[in-house]
Amino acid sequence: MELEVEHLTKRFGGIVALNGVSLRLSGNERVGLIGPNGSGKSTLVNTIAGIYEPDGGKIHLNGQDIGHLKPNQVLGRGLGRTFQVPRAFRRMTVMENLMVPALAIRPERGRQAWESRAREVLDFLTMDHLRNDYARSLSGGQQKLVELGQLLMTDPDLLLLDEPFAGVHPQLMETIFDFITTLHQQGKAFIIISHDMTSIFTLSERLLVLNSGEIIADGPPEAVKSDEAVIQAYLGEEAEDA
Amino acid sequence: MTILRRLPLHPEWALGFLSLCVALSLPLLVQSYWLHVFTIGYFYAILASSWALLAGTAGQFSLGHMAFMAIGGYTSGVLGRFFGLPPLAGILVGTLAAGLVGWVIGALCLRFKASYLALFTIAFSEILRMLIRGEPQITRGDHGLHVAPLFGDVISRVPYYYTMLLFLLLCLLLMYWLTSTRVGLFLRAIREDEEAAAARGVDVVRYKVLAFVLTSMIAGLAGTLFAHYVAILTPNIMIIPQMGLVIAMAVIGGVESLVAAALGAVLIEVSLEALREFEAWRLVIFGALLVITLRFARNGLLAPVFQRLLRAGPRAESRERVVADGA
Repeated sequence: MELEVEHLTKRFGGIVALNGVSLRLSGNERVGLIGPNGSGKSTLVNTIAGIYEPDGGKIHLNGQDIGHLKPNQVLGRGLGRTFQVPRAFRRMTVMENLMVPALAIRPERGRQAWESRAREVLDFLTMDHLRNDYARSLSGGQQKLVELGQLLMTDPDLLLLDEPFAGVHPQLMETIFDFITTLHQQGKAFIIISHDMTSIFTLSERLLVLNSGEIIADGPPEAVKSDEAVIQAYLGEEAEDA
Repeated sequence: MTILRRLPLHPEWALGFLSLCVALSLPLLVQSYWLHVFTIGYFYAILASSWALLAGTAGQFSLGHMAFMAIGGYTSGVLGRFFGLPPLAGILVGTLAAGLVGWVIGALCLRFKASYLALFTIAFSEILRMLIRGEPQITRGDHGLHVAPLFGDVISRVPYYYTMLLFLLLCLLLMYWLTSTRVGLFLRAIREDEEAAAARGVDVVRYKVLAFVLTSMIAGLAGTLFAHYVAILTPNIMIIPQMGLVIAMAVIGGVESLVAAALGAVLIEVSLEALREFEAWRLVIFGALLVITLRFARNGLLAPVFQRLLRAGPRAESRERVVADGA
């Protein structure tokens, strides 16, 4: 997997949300993306995933230009994302939630084969007993697991996870941790946005720090933790706690 | 109802089967006038169920459904008047014309948020009505366009009754088949959250346009059948209150269930006729019923009753929980 973002710019009216962001990911890197509120983290993920059209710059995935593709096409190229607030399809069952991306990306595999795969994925996420429940009857943490399950169905090379631990029960947090670790071992790459410093420092091999739409630090967690600019802009006391 | 639960059928189909038996025997049971009322009821049932597919399944709120109905009816009527097109060919061409206009409108405004569709279609509907009124040399305007009856000189209403019923069943079957395929799954995902559906691989615009074209064609088909039954078309058929009536029928029946929306339409049409002696008060009653439905039973009055009487396993129970929560 190769992701290359060059001088990415995104504006909302007069506000510059991303100001010439460049980054490069390869192999199965596990990258943490941190920064203060409003620094542009979610905008970066949304722009890479095709939700927002970039105003400038380039995004290449495995050598292909994905900068102007629609979100469904980006997923088809092997890049999946979750949302900050879980957005499972609430009036659809868990099983139906998983079938949507599967049948959208690879319908030729057939419904029965996908249903078997969905059972495996739900088993992996310890949610098989909830497969016939409506998503809206699940807790916020379980809905996050449903989103992760949706991603697994399409087998993406790169997963963009927006606040996967926010508002999640500690037990489910462990499941999400295991999910990321297992998939990483299987060769998947991750960009993980989180305000949970303990988790992000534990999970990430590399940290990117965004501030006011610009990357102010990029490197191993230990180096980023002691970076003066990062401490000033974001970490402060939190770095000492982590 | 216990017997229904033992049938190897989906509960909605079992109820549908019972309703079908009643519908098939109706010409033996009621007078010609009531047969006419039921025929019109089936016409509204086609419109209400197809609108329910668009709004309840795909989440697209169109106010132009009666305009597509009129496009079908007027296309068939005008081609018959000027070119001698026979009714059967007119039904086909009228249906296709409604689909074509639906495709143009869908491609134009389904890229935007749902509220734009509602605004655009209400404007389109009114412009079309003005156009029909303003071109009397083609449409005969408010005087009404005479349309050839489907069965020529046959006076009996029975063939029309069965024809409308047949097309209602065919439309319901087609829409049920569609909702049971992956397209139905995608439409429900779009209804829930367009952005999330796109992020999960669904080509949102494509499937919204598909649903819009299909429901426009069904509305157009209903329009052609109506035109060749009543044999006269006036622009009044597409006034905003008529659109409101179709929406009320679908909402009171149950906008997320095609059969409930169709039955809601038939029940309301028949009830409106039965309560005719109450004059304007009957409309007040139905207005109040609509308000009560929207406030206390957002999945309609009939759909939850079906589900309650005919529990269909964990999915239905879970669905009931959702309905009870006011989904």
